[in-house]
Amino acid sequence: MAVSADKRCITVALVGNPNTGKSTLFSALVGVYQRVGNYPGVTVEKRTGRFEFAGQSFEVTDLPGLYSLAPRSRDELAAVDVLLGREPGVEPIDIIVCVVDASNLERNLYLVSQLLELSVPTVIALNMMDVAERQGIQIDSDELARRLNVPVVPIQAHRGLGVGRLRQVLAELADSPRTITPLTILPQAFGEACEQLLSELEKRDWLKCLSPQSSSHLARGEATFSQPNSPLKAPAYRFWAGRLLLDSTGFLQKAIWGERAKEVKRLVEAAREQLRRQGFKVPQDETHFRYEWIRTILDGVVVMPAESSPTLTDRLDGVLTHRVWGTLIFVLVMLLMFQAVFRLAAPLNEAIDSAIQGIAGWLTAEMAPGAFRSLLVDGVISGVGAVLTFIPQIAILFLFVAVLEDCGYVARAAFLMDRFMSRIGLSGKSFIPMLSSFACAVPGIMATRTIDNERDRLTTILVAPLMTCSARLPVYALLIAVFIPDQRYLGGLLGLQGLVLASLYALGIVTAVVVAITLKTTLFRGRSPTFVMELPSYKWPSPRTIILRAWERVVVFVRNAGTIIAAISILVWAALYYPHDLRSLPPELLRRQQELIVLRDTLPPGSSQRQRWETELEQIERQITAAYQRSSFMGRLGRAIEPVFRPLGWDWRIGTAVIASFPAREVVVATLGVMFNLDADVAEANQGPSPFHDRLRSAVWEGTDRPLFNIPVALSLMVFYALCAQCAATLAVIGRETNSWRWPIFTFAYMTTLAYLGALATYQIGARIMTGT
Amino acid sequence: MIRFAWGKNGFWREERPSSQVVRLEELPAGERAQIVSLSGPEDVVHRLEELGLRPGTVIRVFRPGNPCIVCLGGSKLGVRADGHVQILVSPLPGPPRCRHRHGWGWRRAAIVSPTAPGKDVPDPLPPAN
Repeated sequence: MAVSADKRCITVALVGNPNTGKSTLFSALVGVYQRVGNYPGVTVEKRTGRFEFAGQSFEVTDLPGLYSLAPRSRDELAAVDVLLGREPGVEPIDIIVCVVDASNLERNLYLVSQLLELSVPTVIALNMMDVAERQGIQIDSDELARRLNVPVVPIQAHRGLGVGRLRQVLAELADSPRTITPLTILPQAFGEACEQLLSELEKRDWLKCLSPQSSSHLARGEATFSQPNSPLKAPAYRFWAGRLLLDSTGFLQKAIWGERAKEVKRLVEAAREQLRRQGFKVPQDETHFRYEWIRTILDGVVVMPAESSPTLTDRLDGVLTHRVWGTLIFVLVMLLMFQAVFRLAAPLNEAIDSAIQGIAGWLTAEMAPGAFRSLLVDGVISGVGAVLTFIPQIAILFLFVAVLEDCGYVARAAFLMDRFMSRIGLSGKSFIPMLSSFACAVPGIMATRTIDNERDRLTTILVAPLMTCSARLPVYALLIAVFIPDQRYLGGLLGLQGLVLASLYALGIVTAVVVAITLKTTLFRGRSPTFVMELPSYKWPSPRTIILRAWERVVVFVRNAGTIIAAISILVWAALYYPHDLRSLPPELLRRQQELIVLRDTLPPGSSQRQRWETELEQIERQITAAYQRSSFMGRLGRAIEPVFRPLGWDWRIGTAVIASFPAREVVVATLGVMFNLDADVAEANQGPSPFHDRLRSAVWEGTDRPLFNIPVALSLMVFYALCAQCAATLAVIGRETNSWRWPIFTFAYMTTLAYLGALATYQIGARIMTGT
Repeated sequence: MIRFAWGKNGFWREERPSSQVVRLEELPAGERAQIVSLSGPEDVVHRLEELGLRPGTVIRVFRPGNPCIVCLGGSKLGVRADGHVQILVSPLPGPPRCRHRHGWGWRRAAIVSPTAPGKDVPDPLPPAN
């Protein structure tokens, strides 16, 4: 059947094992015209791009790397759904391009054997031909194409070789689709069991859950889905039936049928039982028959070299995966990465910070005072500023992680760390997310997508925010500089301030370990997953891939986390601003303000008396701001729940500042500045002794002359910030990545409880020691 | 860093009959072995088999221990077989070649089996570049 394809775009899916150069081929095919999004509800990155060839336009979708079409998690299911057109809102796939690593044909053909059963037109892109040749592997690609009955195109994606030929083959397929006879590799008995299962499902009208949203364009008139009367023969239905039979975990039933999974399970069990009686071992026989098929296909097609000697990758691995040297190098790499993140980001952060301050100052000067100015300056600009100051370090971190991923080192790091991580019930794959969380929990949580075990992934997501992220540093820096005496021990080698900072980092790590162990023994009990990870060959990272990947992630971060932080900042601003009632102010303050304004204007600018008055006026205005905040909704709330904070040694002002820092932790520094009515110049507050520091030291409990801050209070505040979940972006990302509101709420609840208890214990013990000695 | 298991297997390996079946994590570095069986939860075993770790496959140990690194086909896999999953292998005769004699900090496997290298089993290692 000829395709009336002139009007329509041909959709092409890129499939393949991980590390086969799939993304490189994708970039070579579509250039920089690519978009990244997410499939609704799952975290699979949806990467699409377009190209034109011979008057035909193609839309290419890059699916995540798969070793097999057997879905075991929602993310894998999403990839399979896209292939079979079951994903809503996604065009059905017309042509599959399977990228195959020529130097590892046997394992790669496993996925091919499953793809060829779908009866979707397929092209094999035989990548890394150069690597295979260098290793002395000879492949007869024409014979392979003949045996598989699909086009096989040898390519070298990183050099762009063979890509033109691939485009040509795609165009030929689009013009003249062939009738495809789906491959059957598994024995007759299996096919019969599939049909039996399908007919049972059809009888109960449960089959429509498997139906695609729309049928494939090219395969229309072929066998895929277009025969509603005989779905039992349609390859896609048979694929699903086969997967159901082979999925011993019951994951598919639950994911597809939801509440009816139990009834479906009965049917599946019955069909499985029949299979077993016929001597088919579920699920082991699937791999057996497929690898047998691969053996017959490859027999005579591939000639392996007789002798093999160590490759460069082997030599590098000899050092990099070594228990001593490898770990040492790993620690060095991590140190370097963090140094870079903090060092390189600092000047950029300062630039962004001063730009924001500049805009805020300009707006304050240009606009008339009032709610709108306050909204712009204190709400919008400070909210957007909070997002922007994150970006440099996140971008640099993403860049580093992308380099490590692309050159193949991440798999080695996971291997090295697996020994430790398995002690706390996780696997090595949890390590990189945890590590990224030291810069920021948001990319850390996004990096958990590589963890294939759902329980492990959730545990990692829930403990990642406990890692000391860079947003905690301003809080620690301020409180340590103000309240921890600068004592030095061991001849100046060890400083008390540094020790406190180090113990706060340690507190986060130890708590994360304890929480992870607790979660793995209670909520996420179950066997820890077996750790299997491919260690791909090392390669030079490709700058284009790295920059594109880091850029995409930054965009996703800004879109998701950024909007949330900005929105909540505005909410918090409103709670701190309104009702803004003039009557709530002490009358003498207003009177003095009016007086000063009149007095000031009587004198010429530059006279010393006028300057004195101006200083006093600023002082009065700050007091007015503080008085407004005291009577604002947030201030009232803070005062109402002051009894809750008292056992921690905090008064209502600290409490309010802590609540107001919900959008992002570091906001507390600015809010404390306003609360203790000072210039809100945060940049100044971070540098050396300043009026702000003195002011904090001399703050007293309202109505008394008892000092508010002392070492136990500062420590309790720091412990609170080490453990709390005062970060809207993190919670939003947890919600998005787990696709539920339960987990962010749970995270917030457990972390706030821990933080409160930790701060309580710190203050109470600290206060006892202070008064006792 | 001499691990107990290494010492045990390394020093007394020659006395062991070649048909003996051991756990994957007990194999010393450089040793070739054929996988005899995998046991454990069905879905985990299935996934391992999909990756090529299945009965009959010949592997070579690159980094011994648990987790270990094995070479099979053209790829290297990091594997940790813990309490739930057991991978039993039967060591193959042949000199335990050291895979990276140019690396640092790695000792050459000292014991050479008296039997000649068996050519009946295909070499699972990726060839040199």
